[in-house]
Amino acid sequence: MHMPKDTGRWHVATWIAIVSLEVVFFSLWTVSIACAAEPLEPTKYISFSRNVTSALDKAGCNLGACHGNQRGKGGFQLSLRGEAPHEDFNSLLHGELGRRVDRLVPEQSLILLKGKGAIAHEGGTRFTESSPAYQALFAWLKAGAPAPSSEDVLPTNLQVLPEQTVFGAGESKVQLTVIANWPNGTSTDVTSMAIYEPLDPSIKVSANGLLEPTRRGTVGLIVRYLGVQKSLPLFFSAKDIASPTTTLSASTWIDEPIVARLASIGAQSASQATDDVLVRRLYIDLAGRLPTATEAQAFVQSNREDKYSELVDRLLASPEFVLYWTLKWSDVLRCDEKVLDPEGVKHFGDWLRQAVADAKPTDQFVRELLTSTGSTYSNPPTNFYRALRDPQTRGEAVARVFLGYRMQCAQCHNHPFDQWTQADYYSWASVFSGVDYEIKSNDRKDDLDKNEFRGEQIVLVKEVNLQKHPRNGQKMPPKVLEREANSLTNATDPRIDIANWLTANTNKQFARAQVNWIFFHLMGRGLVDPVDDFRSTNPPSHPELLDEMAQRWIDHQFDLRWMVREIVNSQAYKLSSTPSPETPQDEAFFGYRVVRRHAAEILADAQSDVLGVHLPFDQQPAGTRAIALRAGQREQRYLKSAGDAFLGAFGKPQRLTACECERSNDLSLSQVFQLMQGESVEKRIRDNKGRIRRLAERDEPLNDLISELYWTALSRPPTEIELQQATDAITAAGSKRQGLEDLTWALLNSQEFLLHH
Amino acid sequence: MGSIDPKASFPTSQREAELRWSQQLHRRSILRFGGLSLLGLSTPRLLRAEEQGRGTGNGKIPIRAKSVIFLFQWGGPSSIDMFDMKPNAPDTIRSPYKPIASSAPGLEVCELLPEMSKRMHHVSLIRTMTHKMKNHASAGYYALTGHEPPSDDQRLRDSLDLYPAYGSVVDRLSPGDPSLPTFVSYPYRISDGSIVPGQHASFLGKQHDPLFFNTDPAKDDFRLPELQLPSGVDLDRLMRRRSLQKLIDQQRRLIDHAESAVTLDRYYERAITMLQSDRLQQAFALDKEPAALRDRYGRHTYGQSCLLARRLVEAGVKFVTVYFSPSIGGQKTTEGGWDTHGFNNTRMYNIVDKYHMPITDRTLPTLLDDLSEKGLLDETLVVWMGEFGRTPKINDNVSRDHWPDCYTALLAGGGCKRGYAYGTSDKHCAYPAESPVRPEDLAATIYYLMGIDPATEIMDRNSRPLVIGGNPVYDVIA
Repeated sequence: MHMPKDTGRWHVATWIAIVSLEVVFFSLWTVSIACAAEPLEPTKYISFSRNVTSALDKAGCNLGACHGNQRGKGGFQLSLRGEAPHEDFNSLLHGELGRRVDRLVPEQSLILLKGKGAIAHEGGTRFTESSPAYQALFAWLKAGAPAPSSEDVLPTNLQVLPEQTVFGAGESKVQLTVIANWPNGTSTDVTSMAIYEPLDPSIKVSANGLLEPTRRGTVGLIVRYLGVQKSLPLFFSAKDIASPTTTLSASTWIDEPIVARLASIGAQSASQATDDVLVRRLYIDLAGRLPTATEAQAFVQSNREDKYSELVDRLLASPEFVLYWTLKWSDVLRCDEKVLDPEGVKHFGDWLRQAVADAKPTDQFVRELLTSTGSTYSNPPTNFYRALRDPQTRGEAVARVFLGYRMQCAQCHNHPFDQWTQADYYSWASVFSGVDYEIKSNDRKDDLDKNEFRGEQIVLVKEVNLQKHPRNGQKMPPKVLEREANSLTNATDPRIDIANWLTANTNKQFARAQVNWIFFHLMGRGLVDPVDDFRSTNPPSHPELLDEMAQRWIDHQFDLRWMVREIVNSQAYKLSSTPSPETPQDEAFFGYRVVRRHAAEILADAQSDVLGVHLPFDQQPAGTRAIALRAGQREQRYLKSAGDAFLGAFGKPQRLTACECERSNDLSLSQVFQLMQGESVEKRIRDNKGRIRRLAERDEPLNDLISELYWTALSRPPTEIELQQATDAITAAGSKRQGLEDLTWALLNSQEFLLHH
Repeated sequence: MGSIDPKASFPTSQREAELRWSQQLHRRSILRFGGLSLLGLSTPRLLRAEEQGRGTGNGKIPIRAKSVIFLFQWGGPSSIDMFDMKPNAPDTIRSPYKPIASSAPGLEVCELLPEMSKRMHHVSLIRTMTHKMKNHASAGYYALTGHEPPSDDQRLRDSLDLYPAYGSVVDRLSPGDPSLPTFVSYPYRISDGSIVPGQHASFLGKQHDPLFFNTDPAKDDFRLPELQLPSGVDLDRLMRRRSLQKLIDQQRRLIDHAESAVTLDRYYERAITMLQSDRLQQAFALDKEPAALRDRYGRHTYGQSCLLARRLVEAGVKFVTVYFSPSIGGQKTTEGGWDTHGFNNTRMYNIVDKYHMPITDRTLPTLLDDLSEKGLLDETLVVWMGEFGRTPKINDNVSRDHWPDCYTALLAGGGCKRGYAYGTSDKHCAYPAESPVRPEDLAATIYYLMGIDPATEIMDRNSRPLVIGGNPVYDVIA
């Protein structure tokens, strides 16, 4: 195996190989291997990794909050989680006048004395003399404190027993056994040295791997040992799971894995949502707006068998679908006025719209972005690079948006929860290091603002400027982002190789990340969640579904609308937000509809549609819809209009981070104040040109007016009691108009209106 | 028995016990707050689980400061002209003003601060604040968050990657009475060309944003905008609307299952409670204060803002940030911050003596007296500081430029030592001579005084665990 000696780090290739082999080996290793695993004997094989790294790791010494901190702690620095054993060896042997390690009287070594709390240690007592960690360190010291050597290998994989992941009501405690399998075919039981990191405070794990959930449901647990980690999604059912449900049937290929997973825990999904809910859901997800009263009524009252799929097809073909899905792309591709300037935003925004309108296959779309050069005005995809001003930002954005990888951690140290090393990070950044700009003009509004550009720029490709590894200063050659990295052939513009590699039919990760992103937008949650955080320790909830979606999408030429259609036609999409008693609470089962606040633009437009009065946006013609705004949220200093202020308060992103997470669907007290008594709402409710006045002036039965308001705002008729109380309230109010205003306020402030359900 | 060593007033065993506990949090099982979970567990559930174990502090570090009043002196006041004077420095460096003795032996202050000199026995100075950010935006962000900015940029661009304001962290980790906002900030958003980051909750989420307003507490009709109903809507009409709204919510009953509906409903309840809450309305009713006291604070935005801060703290708000001015200023004697370069033919010593010093010498002593008279000073930490200090060397405009390498922060009450100075600057107040304190260390000190462990991690949007503070300056704790 190739060992990159020059990186100064430890067995990069080994570690990379480990993770990739894990999948292969896992199916081969069986319980018989477990039986063959020898117990951990600290004295049997003395090695730096097994005795020191793993002991310091187990005791928590090398974590970021302790000596693993970039600056160390108390003058003693270790590499984060032991990723650089040679450096750790040096600071153990040579720091503190050599007192950390006493080869002659091992028990007098500071590392033991401080660790066991025998002398003052800020970090407190880390282990007792009888603990395996102490024993391992002591054995290493007695053996003369040997340095890390090339024979000092990492395990090929970890095996955690029992393999079962679903536990019934009777199982209140589970003892895990962790087996490390070594490259030479031997195995060791490392249960006592493995590290258990629950991802939920509701589960207790002892140092020796005894699990005790304090509530039933899903809990995540990461088990790691010497740089190899394994993520366990465990499910503790509240009932006896001896007999999984068999009565469920799946209606589409998307539903099969979802239903199978529910059945495996003896659960059921919610029932299907009613037509009034579905019509609202479809219009919002596919057209980015509420259905009108007429549209909602037409759907609900239609008896056509195919009315649902007919509506889906109609919405997919609508211009509003183009607007809404362009908005989603514009967020993550950073269509931001400050860097692109208003003209650039217009060109880029139009180009994105055209791509969605033309159903440009996503692979082609991404290739055009990644390989773009030329003027940001006449060749709009170059705006992608215009927004990303340095190689590292470009690398991070491409990995995140197109591959679903978050590389940021690997900028400063190997990614603690993923496969990525610092070498990977800087090699990847090198790919984008040749991009440069010819700034034709820069007429900044604010001379001192280096982040602002106004004027045409030409995106150029110059010679790559290899990025330096911060640990050893080595210049990192460009390579693709894979465990077994390929060298790149196109030396002048590695972006071309990267674009081809990234969008190739064989690169399943691209398809996985993209279908997951589409799935997230329609289902309220990704199979991998957050959508741009694919890693070994954050596995998909339904891996087989994700893979099948990816493959089928590739087979359908990366067609956005095809994928959207398949998802919205599934039973899972149509579920009610009300779980049945048999539906697991955990959203990741997709047993019921996830309920979230509407996006800022949807809410703004929905209010405008109900009130019949538009919100004004700065520098936009009157009547511009919020979802049609090309630019991201303006900076606060330029916020003048009620519309821009509303969108800001409700989380429209400024588009500074190429991350879906920048858009916020949080709820806050100040939002509620705005909805309750904000001028933009109250004024428009009372606007003389608005719907409410017109409604109040119509000489029709009150019931009809109330009903129309309900259909308009909530896509459903009022219930009997709602009708009665609304009538009473309107009659009791100072005037019919005031009464209708109050009802409108109540509708616009209702959970049903504000939440996507 | 000999005299009492002021440094020993904090029993060693207790200090050690606290320290030990705080260090234990460093373990890998450290509780992580906020952000996104690793395995895609639903965040609300994680939050719920955490909330169960959460009180007003974490229960281990005593709560010395129930509340904090953070008086942010935007623009950068000059330490060498105020609280760290160097009378023996050459005249190219020495302040034109003279030091005078104060009520705290050994702590001299500027002759333009005669009232303050009588209150220095309340105060702990940290004279060795230091960092490397020379631009207002980056330094301001650093001062408001205790987190080093990614670059030293005159227009540091705000983004959700940047760190939340102290008050937002407090709201996340140790929220106060639910009928009150934990964190209130006013009467400006500060900017220098662009809005300075660090004034909101950033990646912690909008629910932890401050209750912010930019109306002027010195105006006669001052009211909190949020607490004002639109004209034509009285409380009765609002309640009628509310009952219709509740009826609609009862039909679909999203609240039975959806976390977001529960949260939404809670905010509506809270908003309505606030509208009806006498306590909060009263806190904002500055006209309830005796006119004489209002006069003592000064009938201007900053003076009345400080008075409002005391009222808010009295009502139970945990973190109040008052911004001295919206801009870095420094060129006028009627408004603006402390950025006195002497640009445009102005002169620092014709400005600070007419505006900044008198306003400071009126408000700060009054606030300390007022808190003290109300018995609130012991449990309220007052922090007075800018984003940096000013150059030791007097420039060609007979003024001073930016100087982050060494400056003074003033603390009072809330469990700090009284009449104490921590750290020593060198002979020209250019660099710390000993015991440098970074903004993250000051942040840690504030958190520690509030009973919040400074080693607590919060998660950013990349799921990176970030420690909220550096090393507390234990030595300023009484």
